[in-house]
Amino acid sequence: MNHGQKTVTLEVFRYLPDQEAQPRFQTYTVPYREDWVVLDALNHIKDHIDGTLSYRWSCRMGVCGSCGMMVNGEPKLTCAAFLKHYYPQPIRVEPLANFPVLRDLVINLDDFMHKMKELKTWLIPKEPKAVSEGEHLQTPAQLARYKQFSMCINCMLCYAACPVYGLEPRFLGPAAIALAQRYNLDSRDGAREERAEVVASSEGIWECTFVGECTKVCPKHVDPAGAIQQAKVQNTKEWWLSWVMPRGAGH
Amino acid sequence: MATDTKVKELIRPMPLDWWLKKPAYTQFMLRDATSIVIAAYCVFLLVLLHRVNQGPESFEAFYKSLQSPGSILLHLIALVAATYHTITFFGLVPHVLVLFRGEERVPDGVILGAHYGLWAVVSLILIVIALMV
Repeated sequence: MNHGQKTVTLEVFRYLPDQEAQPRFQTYTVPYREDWVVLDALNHIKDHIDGTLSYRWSCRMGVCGSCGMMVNGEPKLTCAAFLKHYYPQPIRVEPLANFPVLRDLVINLDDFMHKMKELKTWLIPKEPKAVSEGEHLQTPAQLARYKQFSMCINCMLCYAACPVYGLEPRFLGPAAIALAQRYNLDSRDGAREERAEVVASSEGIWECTFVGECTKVCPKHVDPAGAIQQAKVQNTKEWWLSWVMPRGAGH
Repeated sequence: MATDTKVKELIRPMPLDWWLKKPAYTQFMLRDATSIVIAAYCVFLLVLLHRVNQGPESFEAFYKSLQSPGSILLHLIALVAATYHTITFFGLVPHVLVLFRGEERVPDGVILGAHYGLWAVVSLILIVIALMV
């Protein structure tokens, strides 16, 4: 290392349940480079200082959603958090809030996976269509309807920012509901009613109090808060309509 | 798979003062707290209506009591709360009122501007009426 090399301090959350009962913080001094992000600093630690540090990462360019962590208390993609934004102050890195910690900076995201299954966040076509019949056609206007919500990379920064999810883990949460909306608004999809019972449940949209922090921290500008409120409006309209024009049992 | 591990997972509960940790959280709690003030003001309006209903003497007495410093202070607090409530509410509307013209979305600024514009017009009308009476 050069004599005049600038350095920055990282205070990293450590949790090694097979060795220590309690979590702690470990301080590392890493080189400071203008173009480095927090992920680069973590990789430097892992490669050159402390190989025992565990964390998730993959694409390092903000499309995979793997590297979400708390940086100075804010949910961030560590591949998008530049050191120069914090330098020369020390940088505190912790696992994503509101999730159980498995080890060091690695969280258990089973809950989110489970919720996506509950909400059936995949395309369920209106009518079955054989491959031989060709592709579904969609106009640019139909695409525009749901495109914003399709940008979600499942990074779960929104869950870390949501105080409702922190206080009530049964809340379906921003990303899962936004993804349900993404399919509900897709002209090819026909499962809106199928999803409605879960979406409009007390653990669904109605648990949300529109704090709006999920939208603020989303790195892909999905606006999950908007998705949830729009679902509330739609659900309310349908509820009133169901009194005027009852559709029979099972809705 | 994570569910197969016998790892002792660490749960980090939210502290009771979570809403003081971030300015955005505090602002949210204040925003929701203004609904208590709004509800109290609704009760006040019902009382006002009741006094009007009871006749001019009753109303005059009630009107006089409203001019006390305590009452004016409460009304100022209600005005601040209602204004904060309105501004934060308007700020959220562009997320909810999503209108499409073909592929293009109606810009947030237009929706926001329409709300503020309507607020200004209605307020002006009410002030004019109040001054004329």
